Amino acid sequence: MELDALTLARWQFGFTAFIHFIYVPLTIGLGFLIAIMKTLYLKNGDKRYDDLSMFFMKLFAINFAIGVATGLTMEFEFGTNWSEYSKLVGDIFGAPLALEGLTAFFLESTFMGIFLFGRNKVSEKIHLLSAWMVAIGGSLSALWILIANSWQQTPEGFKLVETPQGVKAVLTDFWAAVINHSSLIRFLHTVDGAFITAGFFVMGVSAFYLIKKRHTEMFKLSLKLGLIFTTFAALIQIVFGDFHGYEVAHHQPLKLAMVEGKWETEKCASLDLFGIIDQEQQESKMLLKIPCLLSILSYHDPNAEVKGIKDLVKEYQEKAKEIKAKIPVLEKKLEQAKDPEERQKLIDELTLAKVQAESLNIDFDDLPPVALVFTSFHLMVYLGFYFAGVVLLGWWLYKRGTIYTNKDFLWLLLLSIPLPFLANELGWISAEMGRQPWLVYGVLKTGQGVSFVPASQVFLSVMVFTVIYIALLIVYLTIMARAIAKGPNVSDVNNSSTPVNGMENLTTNFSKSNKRV
Amino acid sequence: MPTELFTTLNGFWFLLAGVFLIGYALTDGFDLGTGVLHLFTKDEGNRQIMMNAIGPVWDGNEVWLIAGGGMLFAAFPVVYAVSFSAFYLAMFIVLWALIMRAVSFEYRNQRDSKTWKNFWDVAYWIGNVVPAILFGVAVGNAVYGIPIDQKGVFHGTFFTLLKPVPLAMGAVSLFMFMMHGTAYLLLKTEGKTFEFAKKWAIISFVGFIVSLTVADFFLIAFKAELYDNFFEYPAFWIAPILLILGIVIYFRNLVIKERYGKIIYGSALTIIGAVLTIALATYPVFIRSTISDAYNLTIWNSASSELTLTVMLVATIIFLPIILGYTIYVYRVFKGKVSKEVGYGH
Repeated sequence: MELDALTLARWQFGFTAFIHFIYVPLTIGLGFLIAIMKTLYLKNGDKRYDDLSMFFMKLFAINFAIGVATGLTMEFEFGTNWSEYSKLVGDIFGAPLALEGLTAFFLESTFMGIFLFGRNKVSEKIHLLSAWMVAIGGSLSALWILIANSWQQTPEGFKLVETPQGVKAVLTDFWAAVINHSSLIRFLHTVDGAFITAGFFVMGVSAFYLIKKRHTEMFKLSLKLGLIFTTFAALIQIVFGDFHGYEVAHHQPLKLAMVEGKWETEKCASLDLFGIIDQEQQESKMLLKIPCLLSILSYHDPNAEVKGIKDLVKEYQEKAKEIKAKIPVLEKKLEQAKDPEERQKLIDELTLAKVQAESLNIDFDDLPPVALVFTSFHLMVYLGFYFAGVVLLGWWLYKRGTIYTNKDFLWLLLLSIPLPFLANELGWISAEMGRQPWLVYGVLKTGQGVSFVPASQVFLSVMVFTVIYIALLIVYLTIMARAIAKGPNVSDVNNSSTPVNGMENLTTNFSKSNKRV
Repeated sequence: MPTELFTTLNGFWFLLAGVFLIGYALTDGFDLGTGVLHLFTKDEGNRQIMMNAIGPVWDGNEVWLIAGGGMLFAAFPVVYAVSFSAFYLAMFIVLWALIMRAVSFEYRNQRDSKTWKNFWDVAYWIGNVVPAILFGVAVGNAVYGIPIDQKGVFHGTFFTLLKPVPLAMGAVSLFMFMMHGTAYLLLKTEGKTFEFAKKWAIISFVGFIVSLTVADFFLIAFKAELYDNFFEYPAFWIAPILLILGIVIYFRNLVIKERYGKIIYGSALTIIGAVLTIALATYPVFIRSTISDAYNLTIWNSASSELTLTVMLVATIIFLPIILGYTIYVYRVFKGKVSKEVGYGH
């Protein structure tokens, strides 16, 4: 692999997005759990829920700050590293990013400030409202970003026009572009993944205290709440996942072939559970094949044909050739056309043809590492079933009355905290790598979107990002761990089963720093 | 006044871009301005109070930048794409600085070790000084002009951006934010910190006047055509008048009347006036090309389609008042003097 500006820019975006997406799902999911805790407190007056909400909001804030900081990077990178892309599709792609800021981001950050610092300055109702605003802001944010991403995956509602600055995609139908084919299901799938992440986080943290026998009465509540929440999220994710696969099969057949590792076209295609993929030989050795299941899942028909990578690439090549052959015909027609409406239609067709003659002309070299796409997708699916299994096990223990004391299960919960994070990343990898070789599916190849910036500058920025991000990740993990180890700020000692250094929390830093002053 | 500013979508979006820039400068200006002062006091109490003063609001303030960036992307994608890629390293330096600032807020008080705090203090300071200067440098480059060709591709290096006009404007923006930050501290603090802020308010004010004069002088020398608009459209004079009015109010309340709680009106007006002045001077151009005037990025050749501008306009009309509403609400909730005890830290 050559270290040209394109490769470096891709590494940079991939790396920064990967790290950013560690923090984001927890923010999205935890906001709701906190709001639910606060609601429960106001409903039944149990102070423990209030303490829980304040405690988790503090963890939320640590997570949120770094999420904002790393998220800002993403907004910069579209301009710095992908300026040709931004010029080409800015008319469509910029709007959801702007709408995120307008509708979601202000809401989330402003009300988080009120929730954390305004406890004694606002009424309980406003405090509760703040919690919900934070939660809603988080998922609205996800909505707009996923709309932007979905448009790249399944572009709709636009046409291409020639300008002196180059070809541009111009919005023709706002709602078609927003809804396209995959926005809704991608949103549900991703946000539900975030819910699972937050659910496991709350369960795992609660398990930690139950193992340590600290604040046990309080964290029994959050463990149960986490279990209920995660049960819904984990079980419905199986349905969402199925819908999403069905959608991909119809709109991104090449991605489907790659996530399933299918080189050859198959009728009654099997679902292969494990496999080794040899990209050079263009073949896959699969283990545990379930006959016809892929055809059923993808097309709801056991005899449906699932196209293989080889045939699909050839199809795209042929289509590109066909379109290329059409260009002179269209040009001739345009010369003869008189009616302005007809001329406009021909000009649009011609611009599209010129772009697609190039963008659809893909080769096997353009494909991403199929093994990575296949493996990350399959691991994600297995993790999804694992999550469902854990919550069901949790209910079984709950029925037996041992969930709060079964050390093995509590340890399982604690150690499972990172797994949903991993599943999110794996899903993201398979979605984004599986989209290659396109930046906008079928319209713009990834290489066409990159900025004209010298590779040396991109290299420098990749280096700095790597250092800063890894350092931040380490600091983040340490601080999260310390905040959890320190424990919540318990307002009523009677509610806490163990008299732990409860009041130490918010005031500690300042009281200590006071002494030094 | 050119009517197309109000009667066309492109013109109106130029004004809206100004609104977001002003929104950012007014709110994050508090953070940047106080942050610049952070290392100028060795007193831990001062530092803590200054951070507490903006603790509850800085997050929301920074969102103006994110929203403003998004707005620019949506309404004038070419300007967004060209400026971010042309100012490649400068943009990332600003970004890294902002990242450091954001995390120092969260992390500074997580441990009591002196080295730990010193590290985050320096990170926090850099995180404020660098953007405070580079925002001015960036605006300076946009109005002075950079070597971009017909397709908006930049033909220069990082050092192309370090010309006298942009550098002078970097100093202007630094002192402007310092004026605003000190004004905020004079409103929000008392005692030692208040006295400290008073001293620095005077320094910032003097620095601002000097750098503004220098920048003005450079502009007359190197880019006199930036003054043309004010002769063509006399109504544009409203902007520099606001700027001067802001300066006068700041000085009067700080030195003559000693009404410290009201200095902030002066710095706010100064910012509004300064942003408007530079925007109206460069109108209708966003980024000048030093290669040819034909390659200038204007509100006409770099804007989104009518449909996108309309959709975004509707969204802005609905949401901007709501945002302003709860932003004002949150400042009211946290109004009054800050103390050391209530603030950031976990």
